[in-house]
Amino acid sequence: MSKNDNEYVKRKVENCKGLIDNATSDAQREIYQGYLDYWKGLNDEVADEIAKREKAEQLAVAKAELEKIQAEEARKKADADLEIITKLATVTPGRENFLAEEFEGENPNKHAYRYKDGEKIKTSAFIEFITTKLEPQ
Amino acid sequence: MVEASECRMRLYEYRDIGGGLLGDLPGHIKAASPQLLDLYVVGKPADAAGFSEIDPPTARLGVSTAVAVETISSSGDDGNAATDHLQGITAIGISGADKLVTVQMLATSAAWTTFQLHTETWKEIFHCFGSLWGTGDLDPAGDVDIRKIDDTVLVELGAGDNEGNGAWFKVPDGHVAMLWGGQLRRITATGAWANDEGVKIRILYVDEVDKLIGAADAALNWLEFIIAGQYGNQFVDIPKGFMFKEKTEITHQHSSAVDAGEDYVLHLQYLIWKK
Repeated sequence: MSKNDNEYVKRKVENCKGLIDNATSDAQREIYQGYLDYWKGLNDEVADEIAKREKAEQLAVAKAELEKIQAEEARKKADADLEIITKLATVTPGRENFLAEEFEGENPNKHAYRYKDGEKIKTSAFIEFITTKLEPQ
Repeated sequence: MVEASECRMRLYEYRDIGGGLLGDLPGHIKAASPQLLDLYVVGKPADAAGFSEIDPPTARLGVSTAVAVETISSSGDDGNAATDHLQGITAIGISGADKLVTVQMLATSAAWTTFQLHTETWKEIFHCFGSLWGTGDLDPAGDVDIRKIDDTVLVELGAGDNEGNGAWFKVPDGHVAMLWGGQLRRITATGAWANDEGVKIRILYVDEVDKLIGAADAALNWLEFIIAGQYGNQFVDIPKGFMFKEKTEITHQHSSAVDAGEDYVLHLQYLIWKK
């Protein structure tokens, strides 16, 4: 038990009230009132401290929950990416060319590839198209 | 060298003061049923540079209106269970009726680690000692404190030590005190005759008028007892008869003649009666 313990301080406050009620003189009552004021002051400090501590604990729980959700989402995304990569890996160059033609035929305003630093890269729309085409397999 | 001192203080009521001790007292003092405050100090001042207080209390209560105090132990093994260690602590001080009193405060539950409020009210507490034990052990299992309601410790028993601290006292309002003899004796740590340079003891007395000036200047009055040199007497008889007025605060100090431990024992008696 200590001065940082809310229950302890509460008991101190109750004791002081009892002492005041049973005081045998005004002078004695005044001294006990001084003790009561002291412990009441501490009680407020302890209550503030506890409120701060509880808020910090709630914040920590919420943060942990958020991090858990974010980690789960990141894991799901990584799984989905892996699934797409796996599917793309099954497409042969001949079939990819056939699908590219089909994609651009169906979407005259879109390209199957874009070029960056001389490298040929599938557009995201084409990748999505390929995966939908592979879905029934 | 570590400075050390321990005081054993006891208060004897008039009925307990033995035989011819009071034989040469005037009849009107006997009629006032004087009490005898007995101090037995074992000390070892270590510093020749100055005086230090012998076994001071942890804090003084110092209130003009008597108030309640609490007790608490740091160990769950002290309490009122039959198998507990310390079950009761006794304090010597000034009661609400301006009287020197010895009061035993008992543990009221098996868990003395929860503080306990006591009904006796005090103006001052000078000293404490263990006074009731269970079958667990004949000394406190933890540190046992007597403290104010705001948790300020006044006097305390250390774990395993039945004699608490505190070697000062105050003459209650409406009373007078007389130094009633005693003895200062040099010893070695083993209790054999000393063979060192010496020790000084002071009885400081500060009355109400002295207290009106600053604390640093207040200790202007003292009685001094000195044992010097290894070839002289190794004891001093403390004389009887020096008087102290009401509300005078009496503390005890010691000093070593050299920067080394100088062991001594000091026995002092004060006779106190209501005017």
